[in-house]
Amino acid sequence: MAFLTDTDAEFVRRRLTQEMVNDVRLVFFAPSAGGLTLPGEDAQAVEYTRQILKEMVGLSGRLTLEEHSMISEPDLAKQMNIERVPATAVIGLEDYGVRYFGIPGGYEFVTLLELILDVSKAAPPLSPDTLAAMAGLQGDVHLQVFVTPT
Amino acid sequence: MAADLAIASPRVRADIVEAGEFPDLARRFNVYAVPKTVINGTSEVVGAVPEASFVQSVTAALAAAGDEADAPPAPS
Repeated sequence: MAFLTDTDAEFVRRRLTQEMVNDVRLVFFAPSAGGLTLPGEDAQAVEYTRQILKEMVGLSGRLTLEEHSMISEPDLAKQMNIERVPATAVIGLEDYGVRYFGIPGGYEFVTLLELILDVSKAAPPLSPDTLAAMAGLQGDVHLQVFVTPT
Repeated sequence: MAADLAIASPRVRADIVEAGEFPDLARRFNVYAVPKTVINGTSEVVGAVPEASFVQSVTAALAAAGDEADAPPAPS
């Protein structure tokens, strides 16, 4: 059974087609690869996430999906700041440090879509003052935005 | 907004965290209403706020961390 309704899929397809500028890679981290479930792992959450990502990637030829295992590829996970799974890194021309942790379920697929489009355009609609502030940052900033599916 | 700042600066990284999947994180940061943005694990912004206000929160969080780092050690 598909996670996206026909209406939602058409909405996503249209926005990806009309708005993407650069190709985007969705780099998905699961605890393990190859369908292996480990004790304590929320296999359902991982599988749901995998399916949602596959459906979204199927809606545009400019979107690709890679899957990695946090357990068998710990160095890659650490390098990409992936400490929890399921996690999806949204990568365009560069890795801007944009991640989605958890299942993009319910209407959260729209949040993931917006991340894809933002990364694809790589031209954030920020004011000159904000851009100047970002250029002048004196330290690293880690933003964690908590959301819930509706 | 968070993703926009991450794209604008290599010093910023932005995580969207689905609270239901990570209840320990939600508890740690007292997430009762969403969206809630935690900045460097110390400051927070609840709700969707104007861009200038959000940026102010980010720079304030860095300034506060800088002040703590610069503070003289407590006498032993």
